[in-house]
Amino acid sequence: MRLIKFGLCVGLFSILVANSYGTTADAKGLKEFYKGKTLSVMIGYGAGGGYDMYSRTLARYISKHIPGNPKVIGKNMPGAGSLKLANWMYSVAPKNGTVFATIARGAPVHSLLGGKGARFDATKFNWLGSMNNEVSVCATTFRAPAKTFKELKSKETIIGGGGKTSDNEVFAMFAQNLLGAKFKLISGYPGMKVMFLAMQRGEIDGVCGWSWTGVKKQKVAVEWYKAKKLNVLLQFALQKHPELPNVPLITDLAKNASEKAQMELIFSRQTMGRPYLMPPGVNSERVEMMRKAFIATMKDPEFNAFAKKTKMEVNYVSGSDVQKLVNRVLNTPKATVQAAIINTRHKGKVEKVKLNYVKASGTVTAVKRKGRKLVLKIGSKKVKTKVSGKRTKVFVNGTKVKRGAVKPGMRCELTWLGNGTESKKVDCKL
Amino acid sequence: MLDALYIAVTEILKPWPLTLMALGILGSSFFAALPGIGVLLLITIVLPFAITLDPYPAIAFLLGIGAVSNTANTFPSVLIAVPGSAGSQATIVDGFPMAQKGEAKRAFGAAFVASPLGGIFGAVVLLLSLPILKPLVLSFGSPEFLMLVIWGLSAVGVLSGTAPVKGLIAAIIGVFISTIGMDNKTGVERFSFEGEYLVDGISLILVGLGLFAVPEMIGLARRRTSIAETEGLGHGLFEGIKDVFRNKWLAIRCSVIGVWVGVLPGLGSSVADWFAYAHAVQTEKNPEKFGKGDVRGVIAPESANNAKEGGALIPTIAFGIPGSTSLALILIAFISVGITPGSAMLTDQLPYTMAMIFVLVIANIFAASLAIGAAGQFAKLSLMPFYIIVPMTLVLCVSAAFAAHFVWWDILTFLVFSVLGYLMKVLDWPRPPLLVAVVLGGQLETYLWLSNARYGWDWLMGPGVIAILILIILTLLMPFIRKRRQRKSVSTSTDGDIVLSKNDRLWDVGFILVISSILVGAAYISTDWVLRGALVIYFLAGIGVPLGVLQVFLHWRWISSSGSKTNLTGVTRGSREGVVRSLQAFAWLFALAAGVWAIGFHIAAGAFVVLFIRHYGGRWVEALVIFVLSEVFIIAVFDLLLNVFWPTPALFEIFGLGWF
Repeated sequence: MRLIKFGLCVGLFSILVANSYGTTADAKGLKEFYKGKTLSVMIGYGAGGGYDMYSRTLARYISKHIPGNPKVIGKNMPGAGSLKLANWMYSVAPKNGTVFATIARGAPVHSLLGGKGARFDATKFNWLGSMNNEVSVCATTFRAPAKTFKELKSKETIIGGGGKTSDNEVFAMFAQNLLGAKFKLISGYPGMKVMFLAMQRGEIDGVCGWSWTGVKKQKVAVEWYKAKKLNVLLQFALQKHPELPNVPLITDLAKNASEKAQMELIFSRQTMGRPYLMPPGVNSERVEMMRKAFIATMKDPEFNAFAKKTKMEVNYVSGSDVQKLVNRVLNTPKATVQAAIINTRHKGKVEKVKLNYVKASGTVTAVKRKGRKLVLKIGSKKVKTKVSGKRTKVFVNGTKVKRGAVKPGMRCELTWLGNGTESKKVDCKL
Repeated sequence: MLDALYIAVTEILKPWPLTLMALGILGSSFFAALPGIGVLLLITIVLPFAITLDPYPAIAFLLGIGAVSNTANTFPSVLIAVPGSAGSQATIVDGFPMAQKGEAKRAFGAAFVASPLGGIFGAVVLLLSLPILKPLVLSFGSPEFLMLVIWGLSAVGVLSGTAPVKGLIAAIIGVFISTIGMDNKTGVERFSFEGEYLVDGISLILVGLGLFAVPEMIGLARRRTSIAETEGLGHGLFEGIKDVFRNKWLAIRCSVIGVWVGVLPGLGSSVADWFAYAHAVQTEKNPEKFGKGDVRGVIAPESANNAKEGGALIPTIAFGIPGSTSLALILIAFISVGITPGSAMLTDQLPYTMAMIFVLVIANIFAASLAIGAAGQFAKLSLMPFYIIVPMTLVLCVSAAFAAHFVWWDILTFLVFSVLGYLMKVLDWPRPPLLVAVVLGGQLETYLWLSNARYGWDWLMGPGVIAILILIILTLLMPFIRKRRQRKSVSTSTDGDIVLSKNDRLWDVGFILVISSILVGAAYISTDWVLRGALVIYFLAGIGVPLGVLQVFLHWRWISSSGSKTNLTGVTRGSREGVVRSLQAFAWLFALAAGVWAIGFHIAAGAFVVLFIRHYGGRWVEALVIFVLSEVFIIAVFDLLLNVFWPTPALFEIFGLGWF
C-alpha cells in the first residue's frame, strides 16, 4: 500500500516536472509563437568572462525587438573551449527557434585547421551575427628592442603566449612565418592578465595577439599607450580598427593571393569576434526575424549606452555577412589550408633541432601491441622501433597502410634515429 | 584624511546603501554556503543592476558581496564535511572532527571571529602597505611564483601526519590528476581519450567532495548515529570565541598569509586556506593534535580566507590589477559607476577608498554576527539522526558535482573520487596532500616551464628565489629543530600507522599496486606525446612507483616482524557488520547516481530521500519534510536562479519524452 502511494506521488510529480519543461513548436505567426515563451542564449563558457558578459547584455536588450517580447535568459554550458556547446547546438538543441548560442570565434574553422572534437558543419548553422568585429594587436613595451613593425624583423623580441592553441600564439607565429618577425616565444602563460604583469616587470617584451578591447580595459596599458611606453606595431584583423589608422594591418602585408587567403582563413575569427548562431534546420522565417532583432538591438541607444558604460566594444557584423564569411572560409582550397596550418606552427629557434635520420633494413621478427612496436633483425642484430599512428608513415609494397598491417616476416626499411627510437617511415615488402 | 573618512561613513550609513549592503551580504552568505556554486555567479547576476547605481551604493552592494564570500562557507565544511567552496577545504580537516566531538558550536565561534578579524586585518595591513605594494607585486616573476608553489607543496610533508611515504604518494596522485586535460604549452590533450569531457581537466570541487564529504557520510551511515557522538552541544560558541583570542598570534600570522595570496595574482583562490593550515601545523606546539579536531586547525584557514578577499580587493582598486574573475567583474562595475582605479584613489577619490575599507569592516562584522546568530541552529544539524543527514548531504553532493558542467560525466567522476576517498580513509592514507597537490600541481608545471623557457637555469640564482628557498628550508626544518629543543625521545615508535592490521596492510598493498599500474600505464600512453608534454608524467611515474615499492616494503617488514608475535595484529578496522553497512551506503549512493541518469535529478533526488529515510526507520512526516526541502532547493537554485539546461534522462530519451 505504501509503495503504491509512493509510486503515485512520484508519478504525479514527474508529470509536473516534465510539463514545466514542455513546449511544442507550432508556427502560427511569430508573435503568437514567441509570446510568453522563454528564449535561451546558450553560452559556451563559464560565468564572468567576455562571452558571458556580451551574451547576458544581449539577453537583456534583445527581448523588446522580438515580436511577442519573450523572456530571454542566458545559460552557461562550458566545456572543451565551447566545442561542447557547438556540438550540442548542432545535433541536440531544439530547432524551434527558442535557443540560440555563442561559441568561440575560432570554432567554425577548428576542425578545418586540424583540431579535434568538433562534430559539426559550421556552414549549416544559422548565423545571427557578431556583436563585435575584433581587432588584436602586436604590442611591445618601452624596454623592448623592437618598437616598430620594421624593427620586429631585425631585432629579436621576447613575446609571451597563452599556449599552442591560443590566439596570441597562433597570430604571433603567423607574423613570424609569413612576415619574418623575429620572436623568442615563451609559451604557457595562464591568461592575458598574468602576461601583462610579466610585460610590466620586464619578463617578456610584448605580446602578439592582444585584443584591442582588452588593451583598453587595462588601465595601466592605456596609460602606457598614451605615454608612448607601449608600442602598437601591427594589427590582426580583416579590417583596420578605426582607432588605429596608422598601424599596419596584417592582411595588407600579404605578398600574394595564397597568403591573402591564408590570412582570411586565420583572421576570419576576428570578424566574428562575438558570434551568435541558431541550430541548423530552424524555420527560416524565425531565423530572419532573429537576425533583424539582432541588428535592431545593436542599434538600440539604450543597449549602446549600457555597452559604453561597461566598456564593451560593439562593432557589429550582420548575420548574412557572417554566414557568407563562414561559407567562404570553409571552402578555402586544401593547399591553402595546409599552408596556413604550417604557418601557425612554431618554427623558432627552440625547436629547430637537426635530427640525423638514417635508413636501415631488416626482417620483422615480432609485432607488439597491434603494430605500435616492431622487433627486427638487421644482420645478426635484434633491434626495436616504435611506430606512431600519427607521425610514422607506414608502407607495404609501396601503398600507404595503417601500422597494424605490418606482419612478422616482412622485410622493412626503417627511416629512424637509431635502435629503440620512433621511426619516421617504415617501408615494407612482403 | 579624517574629512574623507567622515564623508565615506556618512554616505555609507544612509538607508539605501545600508539596505543594499545587507542584501549583498545575505545573498553572498547564501551562495557561499551552497557547495559547488560560488559567489562569482551572484556577481554576474547582479552586475547589470549594480552599474546603474551611484558610487557609494555600488561600493556598499558589491563589496558587501565580495568581502564575505568566505564566511558562510564554513557551515557545510564543519557540519557535513562538504567544502562550501574551494576556499574552505582546509577547514574540513579539523572542523568536521570537532563536529563529531560535539564541538560544532565551538568551531563556529572560532571561525566566525577569526573570519572578520582576518578580513579587517587584511584591509588594514594592505592600506598601510599601499606605497610599497606595486613594486612588490611586480617583483614576483614566474620563478618566484614557482618557488611559492613549491613552498605550498612542502606543506604536503606536514599534512601527511605519521605516514610520510603515503603522503608523498598521495601528492603524486594529486599532481597526476592535475595533469589531466589540455596541456596549454604543447596543445596535447592529456588522457582525454578523444572525448571532450576531460579536455577541461577535473574540477577541484569534484575531488574535494569525493575525498572528504562522501567518506564521512559513508562512515556516518555505518555508525548509524548522529554526526556528534555526544549527547548535547554545550555552550561552545563562547569557548570558540575565546579560542581565537588565545591563539591571536596564529590568527594574525594566517591573516598575513591570506593577504599575500590575495595580493599576488596568479596563485589562485583555493590556496590561501591550505597555506595557512600548513603554516599552523608547522609552527604551532603539539602538531600531532591537528586533524583530530583541534580548534587551531579551524582558526588558521578561516582567518586566511577572508583576509585574502581584502587582500585581493585593494590592488584591484589601487592599480586596476584584478586578482580574480569576480574582482574583475567588480572592477568593471566600479569603473562604470565613475570610480577610476589608480593613484587618484589616494587623492581626489580618497572618500571612495575610505568607503571601501569601511564597507569591508562593516560587512565582515555583519556577516560574522549573522553567522554566529545562526550557528546555534545550524549546529543542531549535528545532533540529527543519520537517516536525515546522510540522504540530504548526498543529494547536496550530487547537485554540487552536477553543477560543475551539468553532464553525466560529472557524476561519474564524483563517484570515482568517492571510492578513492573512502579507500584512502579506511586504509589510513592522508587525504589533504592529494588535494593540495591537485590545487598546486598545474601551477608547478606551468611556472617551471615558463621560468625555464625565459631564463634557462639562470632563474635559480634570482635573489627572490633564493630568499624563498631559505624560507622553504627553514619551514621544513622547523619541526626537527623544535623536537631537538624539547629533547623528546623519538625512539618509542618508528612505525606511526601501527593501527593497521595485517589484513588492512594487504589491502593497502593492493591499493598501491593499482595506483602504480595506473602511473605506469599513464607513462606508457604519454610516450605518444611530444616530450615537453609527457615529461611530467614520466617524472610522476618515476618517483611514484619507487615510493610505492618502499611502502610495500614497510608493510612487508611489519607483517614479517609481527608474524611470530600473535598479539601484535593491530586494531581491526572493519567488523563484518561495518563492511556490509559501508557497502550498503555505497549502494545507496550509486543508486542515486543511476537514478539521476535514468529519470533525472528532480525525481531521483526526491525518491532517494524518501526511500532512504523510510528504509532506515524515519517517519513519513520527516520523509515528506525533507522531500519538500530538497525539491524546493533544486527548483529554486537550479531551475529558477541558474536556468540550468538539464541533460535529458536516459529513460526519457528511450521513450521519446524529451525535456522539450
